[in-house]
Amino acid sequence: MARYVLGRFFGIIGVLFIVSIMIFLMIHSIPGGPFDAMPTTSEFREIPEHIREKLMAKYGLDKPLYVQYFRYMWAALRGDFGISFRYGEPVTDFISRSWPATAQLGLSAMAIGIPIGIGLGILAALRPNTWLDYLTNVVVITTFVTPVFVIAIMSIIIFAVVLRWLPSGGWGEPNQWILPTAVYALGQIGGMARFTRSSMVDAMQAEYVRTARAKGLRERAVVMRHAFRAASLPLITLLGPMVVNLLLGSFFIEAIFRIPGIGGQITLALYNRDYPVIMALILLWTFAIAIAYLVTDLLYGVVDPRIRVGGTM
Amino acid sequence: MISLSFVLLLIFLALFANVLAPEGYDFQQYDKTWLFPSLEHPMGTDPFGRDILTRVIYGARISLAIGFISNFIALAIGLPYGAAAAWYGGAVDFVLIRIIEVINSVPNLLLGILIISVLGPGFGNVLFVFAITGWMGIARLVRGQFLSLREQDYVLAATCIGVPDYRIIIRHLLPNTMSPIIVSVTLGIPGAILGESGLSFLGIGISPPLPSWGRMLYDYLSAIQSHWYLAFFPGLMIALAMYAFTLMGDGLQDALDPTK
Amino acid sequence: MKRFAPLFALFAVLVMLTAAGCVAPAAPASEMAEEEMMEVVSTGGVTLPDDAAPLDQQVFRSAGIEGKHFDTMRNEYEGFAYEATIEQLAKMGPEGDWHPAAADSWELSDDGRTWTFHLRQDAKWSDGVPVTADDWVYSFRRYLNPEMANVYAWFLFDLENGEAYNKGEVEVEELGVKKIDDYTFSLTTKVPIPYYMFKINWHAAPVPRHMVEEHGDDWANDPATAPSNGPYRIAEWNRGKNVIFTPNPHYTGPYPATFEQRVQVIIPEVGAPLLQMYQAGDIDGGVGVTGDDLVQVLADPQLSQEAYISVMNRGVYIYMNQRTPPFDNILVRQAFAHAVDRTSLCDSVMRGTCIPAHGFLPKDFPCERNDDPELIAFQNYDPELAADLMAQAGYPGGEGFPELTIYTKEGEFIREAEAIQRMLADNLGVSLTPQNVERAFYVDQMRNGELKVALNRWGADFIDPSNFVDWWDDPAASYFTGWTDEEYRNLIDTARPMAMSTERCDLYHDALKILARDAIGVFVMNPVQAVLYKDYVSGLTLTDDGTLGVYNMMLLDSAYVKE
Repeated sequence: MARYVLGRFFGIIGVLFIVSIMIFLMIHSIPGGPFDAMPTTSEFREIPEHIREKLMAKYGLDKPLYVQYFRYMWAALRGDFGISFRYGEPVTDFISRSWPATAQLGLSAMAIGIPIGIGLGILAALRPNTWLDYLTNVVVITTFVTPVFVIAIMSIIIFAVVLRWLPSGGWGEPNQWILPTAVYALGQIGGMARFTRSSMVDAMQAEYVRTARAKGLRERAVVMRHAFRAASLPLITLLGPMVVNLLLGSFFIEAIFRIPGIGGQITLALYNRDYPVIMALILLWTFAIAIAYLVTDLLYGVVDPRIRVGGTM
Repeated sequence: MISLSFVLLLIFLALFANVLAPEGYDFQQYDKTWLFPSLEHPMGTDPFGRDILTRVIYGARISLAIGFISNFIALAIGLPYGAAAAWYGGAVDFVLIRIIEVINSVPNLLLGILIISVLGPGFGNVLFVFAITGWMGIARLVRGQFLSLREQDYVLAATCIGVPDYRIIIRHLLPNTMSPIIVSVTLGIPGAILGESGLSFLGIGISPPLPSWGRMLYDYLSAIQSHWYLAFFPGLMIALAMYAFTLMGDGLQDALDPTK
Repeated sequence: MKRFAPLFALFAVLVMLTAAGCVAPAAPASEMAEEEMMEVVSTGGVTLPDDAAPLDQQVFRSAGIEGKHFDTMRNEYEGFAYEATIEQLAKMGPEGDWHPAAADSWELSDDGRTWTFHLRQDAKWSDGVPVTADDWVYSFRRYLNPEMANVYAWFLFDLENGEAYNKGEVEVEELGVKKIDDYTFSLTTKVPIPYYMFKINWHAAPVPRHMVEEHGDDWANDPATAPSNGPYRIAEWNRGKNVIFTPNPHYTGPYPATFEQRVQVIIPEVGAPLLQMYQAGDIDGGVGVTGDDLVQVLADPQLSQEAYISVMNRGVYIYMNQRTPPFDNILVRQAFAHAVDRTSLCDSVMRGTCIPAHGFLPKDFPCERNDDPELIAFQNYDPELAADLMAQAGYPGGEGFPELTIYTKEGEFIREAEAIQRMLADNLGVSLTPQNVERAFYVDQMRNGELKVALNRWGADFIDPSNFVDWWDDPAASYFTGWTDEEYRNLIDTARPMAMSTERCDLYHDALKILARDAIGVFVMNPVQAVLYKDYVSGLTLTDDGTLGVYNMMLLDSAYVKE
C-alpha cells in the first residue's frame, strides 16, 4: 500500500513536469504576448519598440524558450513562481491571498450541494416513478439545464435588484456569501442527484441487494449498507474531480459575483497573457487533480475491496 | 415518451430547418427590430429584425450538431480507451491514465480557451473543444466499471474457461457498462449545448450570424430587464432540449438495463 | 472651443471657489450640541448644504478594475480612481476651462513652448511632507526614465528631448523639465503645443520623491507608503475587493474633500454586471453604460431619471488593411463606405445607443463638422453607388471577392459587425464572417498583417482634434493601415502648433475629408453613453446645460450625499 502510494506520488511529479512543458509551450504558442499593446485600454496603441524590448528583457521573455523554461522551473522548484505581469506581485502572494475566498466558496457549496444532491438522488431511486421521483427530477433538472451564468445573473436581478435582500456581489460580509454559495451549490445538486439516482437504481436491482432483502434485513440497512455502498463506486469517480473543481473555483461565479478568488483569474490571466499566473494556477490544478485521483483510487479499494489497488505496482 | 418525442421533434427541426422556418436565419429587416411577440412573429424579432422563431428553429441544427458530433467523437475515443486501460491493467493502465491526468489537469474551460486561442474561433473548433474535453470522462467511467466488473465471478469464470478477451468484453462487460455510459452521453449532449453557451459568455462561441441558442441567450441576457423575450426563447429551448435529453437518457437506461 | 459662460454660471463658479477656498474650521462638538446645529461640516472642512445627510452617510462608492499599484507615473496598467488622490497642476471644469489646483498660476512663454508653473506653497503630501518643485521635476524625469520602461512614456514624447531621453540617447539634464525655484518649474515642448494643458493634466502627477527614494518602486504597493497630494488619501487597499479613500488631513488646496469616504469597488475585467450592481445600490454612481445596458436604462423610469446621457468621444470605424488586396483598391473601400446603412444601424439595431457618423471626429468634439454635406457625401449610404463602385473595382456583385473575417475584440461592436456583414452582403454581395477575438489575439493579428478588416475604435485622450487625426499619420498606424499621404501630413503638421481658431479647424477638416474621401476607414458611428448617479448624490459640478461635460475633472469636487 505504502509502496503504491509512493509510486503514485512519483507519478504525480512526472505528470507535473509533463504538464509544465505542455502548458509552457501552449501558452507561448498562442498568438499575442503580454507586452504587445497598451494594456487594459481598448483603443489600439502599440507599445514603442524600445520600451517593449526593455519589458521583455525585464521579465526574461527575450530569451529562447528552453532557457525561459529551465529558468522558470529552477525558480519554481525553490518556491519562486515569478511575478504576475498583471498584478505586479509575486504569484505565490497572489494565490495565497486569492485562494481562501475560492476555497471557502467551494467548501460551502460542497457542504450544501453534495449531501442534498446525494440525498435527493437516493430518495428518487428508492421510490422510482412516484411523485417524489418526478419532483426531484424536476428540481434537479431545472438547476441542471440552466447555464450557471443565467442563474447567477437572474439571481442578482431577483434578490439584489428587485427584492433588494442581498448585495449584488463582492466578498467579505457574510450577506455577500449567500447568493454565490447558493448558486454554486445549486449547480452541484443537479449532477450529483442524477448520478446518484441512476447508480442507486442499478444497485437496488443487483442480486446481493435482493439477497439482503430476502435475508429480511431492514430496508434502511439494505439501502445504506449494500445498495449505496455499491452505488458509491461510480459516484466516487465523479466526486474526486468535482471536489477539486469546487476548490479551484468557477470562472462564471467568481466573475459575475466579483469574488476575488483564483477561479475567475485563470481565464483572465490567459487573456492578459500573464504567463507566470497561468503556469502556477495550472500546476496547482494538476497537483490537486492528481491527488484527487489518487484518493479516488484508494477509496475504490475501501468501498470495494475486490479491486486490487496497487496489486500490480 | 414525451422527452423522446421532443428529441425527435428537435431532430426534425434541425434536419428541416430551411423548410420549416418562416424566414432565413439572417434575414435582417430594419423596420421590424426588437418587436414584442405577436401573431406574425410568435417569439418576437431580434435587434436585427430577424424572426426569433426562425432563429430558434435553425438553432436546433447548430446545437444538436454540436451535441451529437462532439459526443460521438468523445465516445469513439473514450470507450475503447477506458476499456483497454481496465482490461490490460498494469503498465498500459498506468500510461493511459497518466495521459488522461495530464490532459484533465488543465481545466476544461481553460483548455477550451487555449484551443480556440491557438486554432481561432469557429464552428469546427468549438466541436473539437467539446470532443477533447468530453472523452476523458467517458474513458474513466468505462475503466471504473470494467475494473469493478472484471472481478465479478462470472467474468472470472469466463476467463478461466478460456473465453477470448474480446468475447468477454463484448458479451459481459460492455452490456453491463452501457447504462452509466448512456447516462453520461445523454448528459454529454446537453452538456455540450450548455458548454457552448458558456463559450458564448466568453465571446468565443459560434460566430454570428449563425444562430446558436447559447449565443442568443448570452447576447440578449443584457437586455433581459426591458426585452425579456430576446433571451427567453433561446434559453427555454436550451432548457427544454436538456430536459428532454436527460429524461430520454433515463428512459433508455431503464430500457437497456440487462437486469430487467 | 471655450464658450462664453453666462453670468450666472460665472457667479456660481466664483461662489464655489470662495466657499471652497476658505476652510471653515469644524465647530467643537459641545457647541454643536448646544445650538442643535443642522449644519454638516465634512472632515475635509467643507460646510455641506442644508439637505446633506449626516457625516457617516457621506460615502461615495464607484466601480473600477484593479490597478497594479498607485504609481500613476509608472503606469503599466490603469485602474484606480486616481482623481481623488492626485492633485494635478490644474483642473478642467465642466466647460473645458482650467482652474488652479496644485499650481496657483502658470504662464506660457512667447514662443509658445515653455510652460512655467507656480506651485501652491502650502501644499503637503498626506504624510505632512511639503510638495515641492523637486517632486514634480523628479516625477517627469522618472516618467521618461528609460530604466522605468513605462509603457505610457510616449505620452510625454513631445517634451523637448522626451523621446531621446526615453531612448537613452541624451542625459536627463537635456530633458525639457526644469526646476526654477522650490515652488516653480517649467516644461518645454519640442514645438508649440497649444493644447498642452490637456495632456499634462491628464497624465501627469507628482510622485512622493521621499517615499520612492526610501522604498523604491514598492512605495506604490502599500497605502502606508503611498501618500497623496490630493483631497483624499489612500486608506486601505483590499486587493480584489476595494480601495478606500479618506480625507487627506494635510490638504490645503481649493478642492477639499466633501465625502468622508470614497470607495472604489473592484470589479473583474470581464463579466461583472455593472448596471445590476448599480441598481442593487452597491455603487452610488460613475457607472457608464452603453449598448443594451443603455436600452435598459432608457426603458426604466427610475434609471432614466438618474442618467446623464452624452455622445462619447469615440469614433467607431471599419479598419481595413490597405497593404494587400482587396483593400489596396480605393474603389473597394469606397464601396464599403457607401454600403453601410448607419441610420438603420443606430436607430433600429442599436435602438438609439449610437449616432451615425461619416467622419472620424466624434460629435461635438472641437472642430467637428460632421454635418458638412461634402464630408457626408464621401461616405453616405448609397447602395447603388456602392454596387457600381464594386463593379468598377472588378468585383461585380461581389464576384471574385475573397471571403473575409471581420474582427471585433472583447465582445465590443459584435452586434454592429453582425449588422454590417449583412449590409455588405446585401449591397455588395461580399461575404464577411464576424469573429470576436480577445485583445491579445487581435493585436497579434494586426501586427502580423493577418487582420484585413475589423471594427475598431478611437477614443480621445485629450480634447484636441490632433489626438484623432495624428493617429493615422503615426508610424505605427501607417504600418497597420499601409496608408500615408503627403497632403494629409502637411495639413496636420501645419494645424498642430496653431492656437485654436477657425483656420485651424479648416485645416483639420480638410484632413478629415481626405480620410473620408479615400475611405481610409469607413466611419460608422459614435456610441452614446449614459453615466448614472443615484439621485441622492447631489452637488455634481455640471455644465450649463446640465450635462457631465467632457473630461470634467471637477465633477465630484462639491458633491455630497443628500438626505
